[in-house]
Amino acid sequence: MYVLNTWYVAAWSSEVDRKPVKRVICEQPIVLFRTQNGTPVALADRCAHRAFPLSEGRTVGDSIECGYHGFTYGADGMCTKVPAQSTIPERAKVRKYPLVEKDGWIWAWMGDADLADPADVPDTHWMTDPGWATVTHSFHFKCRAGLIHDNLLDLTHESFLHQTTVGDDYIYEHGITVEVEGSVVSVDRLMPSVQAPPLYADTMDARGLFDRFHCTEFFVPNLHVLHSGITGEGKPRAEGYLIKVLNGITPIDEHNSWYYYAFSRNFAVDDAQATEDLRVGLNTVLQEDADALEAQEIGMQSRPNGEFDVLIAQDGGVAKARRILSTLVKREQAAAADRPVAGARA
Amino acid sequence: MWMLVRADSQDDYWEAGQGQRTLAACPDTDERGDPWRWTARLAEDASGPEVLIEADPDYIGVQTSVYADGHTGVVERPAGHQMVVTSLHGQVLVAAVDGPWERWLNPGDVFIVEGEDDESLRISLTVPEARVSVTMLAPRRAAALRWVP
Repeated sequence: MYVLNTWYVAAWSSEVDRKPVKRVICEQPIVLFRTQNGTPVALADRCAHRAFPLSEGRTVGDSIECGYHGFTYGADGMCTKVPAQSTIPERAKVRKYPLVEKDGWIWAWMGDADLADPADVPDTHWMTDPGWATVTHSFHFKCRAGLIHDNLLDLTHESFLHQTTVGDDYIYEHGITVEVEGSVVSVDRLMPSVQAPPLYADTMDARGLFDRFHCTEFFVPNLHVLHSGITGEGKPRAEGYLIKVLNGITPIDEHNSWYYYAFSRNFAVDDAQATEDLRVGLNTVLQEDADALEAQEIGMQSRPNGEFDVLIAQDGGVAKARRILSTLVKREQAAAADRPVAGARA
Repeated sequence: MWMLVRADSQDDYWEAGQGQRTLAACPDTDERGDPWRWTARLAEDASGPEVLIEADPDYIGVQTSVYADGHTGVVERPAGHQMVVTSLHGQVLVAAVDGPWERWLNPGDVFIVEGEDDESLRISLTVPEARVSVTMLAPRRAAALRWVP
């Protein structure tokens, strides 16, 4: 089950143009395209006539034409043209999904459109702020979204899974703090007086000891913002070399997810070589995660009923996030059960 | 490790009973039995709010203190003990004596501190009417109580 009344990253802005693009979010296929003035549109990717995917068709003006029999739908999802007859059946329409385009991402609302509030799209301004240099990636992870959430809330895996890339043994030696407020779970790890990782040493000549920190802020259920960096020993974090990693996690189905990733730094912003090195290096890190979580997904599918994760104190944030996610799903289901069905008689 | 769960958390707990709210439980699920289990509930009656701890005394020792009247002092948490701090009225500042963290607690927030090293925590009530409940949970048959999600 999924939380539907929320914004999920559906695509990079750069991925959507006049040519229709297919996406599946929470098991709902959608087609994305832009109107002539550049406005992005999301419609159900299923022609009302015979369920052919509209993403196999083409855009005509501000509309999309089905590639099977030519039914044409406007940006509002209403059918505007039926070949071979002038009368358009009343039911010839497809669902339109609310979208917000912001900072290079297109967010889609998969639930009740009346509840969609663009103000609820999280802050991601670092991606387009000229004071920050950004590297981006997107991956199809062959695992349930929950495994990605767990992975991001427990970064001790860096010491083991990413041993040859971003891992340092001392990460798991430092304790975490967990904070839960509303539907946001934050897991913070301070690593005082440690050597700067190579990224900082190589780009900023940061030698000696620093306070290093990771703080993962999970806006359940769709976005993790990792606030990371180093600062002088005992100095405020805001004065340090900072990294903001945005992780937009979008469920495809129960065993697959989209992972939209943006790594922004406020140092060595004009260092093109550093940006290229990061692009390559972070791709390796994400591939390590993708491979590990796919293996974990297989492990979970073959796990006998009644056998559960053995969580430890380190997983405090993981467990809280799971509980909030479960609560949000239950509340949506309860609200949907209470809602009158259209056309039903009292 | 410490964990701060704000009163507005959507981390809904199971039904706690009339007039009570579950603040925290360890293990943090109602589905698994465990002799080390404890549950902290916030109860409110005519005399005001109080924190009730449910635990098996054969496994866990429970000691609760309520501070008021602008109290400021240091609480020593021995290694392996868990501590549950809840503001009953007004704001309370909880801070690690050795730094660097500190957090303000509001009524209904719960703050759990644990770990396998000794720790000193400063608790400060900044206004006379503020009241805070501090519970120390001690292991009876093990070296340490640890948070079990």
